[in-house]
Amino acid sequence: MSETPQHYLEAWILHRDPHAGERLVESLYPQVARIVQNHLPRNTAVEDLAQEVFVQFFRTIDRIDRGRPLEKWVSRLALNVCLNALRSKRRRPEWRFSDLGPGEQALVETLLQGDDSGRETHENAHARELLSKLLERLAPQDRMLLSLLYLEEKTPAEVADLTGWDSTLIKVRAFRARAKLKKAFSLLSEAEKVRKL
Amino acid sequence: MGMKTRPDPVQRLFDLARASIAEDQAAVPPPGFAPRVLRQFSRPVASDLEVGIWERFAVRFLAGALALAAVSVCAPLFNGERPVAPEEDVAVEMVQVAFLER
Repeated sequence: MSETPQHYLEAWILHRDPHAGERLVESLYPQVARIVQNHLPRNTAVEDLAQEVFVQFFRTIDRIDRGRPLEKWVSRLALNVCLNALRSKRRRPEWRFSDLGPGEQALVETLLQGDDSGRETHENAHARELLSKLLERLAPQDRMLLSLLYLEEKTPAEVADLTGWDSTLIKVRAFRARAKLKKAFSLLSEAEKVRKL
Repeated sequence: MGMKTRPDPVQRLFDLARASIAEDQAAVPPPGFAPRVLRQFSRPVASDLEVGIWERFAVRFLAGALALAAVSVCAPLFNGERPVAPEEDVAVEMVQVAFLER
């Protein structure tokens, strides 16, 4: 018998086999970690939220439709856990250019100049941090949607399939959310211009 | 001759962040919480059900016994029987006793 997550799932449900349970967690963890990392609220560790996903997974394991791909169930569950975590963290009301770290400030300057060809790849972490701060200004659903579309590069149809949201609503919401994100970035750039004066 | 357009900084930010995520995800460490989580859910389904049934049975038995006791205490009241004799009954009894003693 091939040792797939589906096989481990069967073994766990039927016999509560701890070995199968561990293999199941290990095989699903990379997928869960990737989703959690892309939708992580501030001050939250990836492993903590991933653990919450697995607690929910085992709690609802008897409701899994075993005729459908397990990965899809896990993705939807992970997204729901992340969305709830994002909702529970209050949106940051306001932050200023000075709240950014030196790396992030330098990145804003570079992006405003429109040429980042001289950047080092290890500086990408600053981009991630800066993007995370910008996304914190948005509503949880807007934030999740932009991350799915532009970080995970999913199509609106895939997002609709994963979240259960209406595809027209997704397009409208994405357009508005992106405009809000641009506005948040333009506020930063204004602050940067003022700082330079 | 076309003018060179400036790249969208927000789009560029997404591109750089995506690259950073890809670097991080190259090596995903195995989760350390698996045994802890599994322990919470490791009880067999059958014994879960058994415990549930016995607990439910005990609760229903106690609730039934309490209801029966309550009914047996309160039933005479509802049937019109008075646990304490009213004053007029006592008065009648006193008259009867006085009459018999004459």
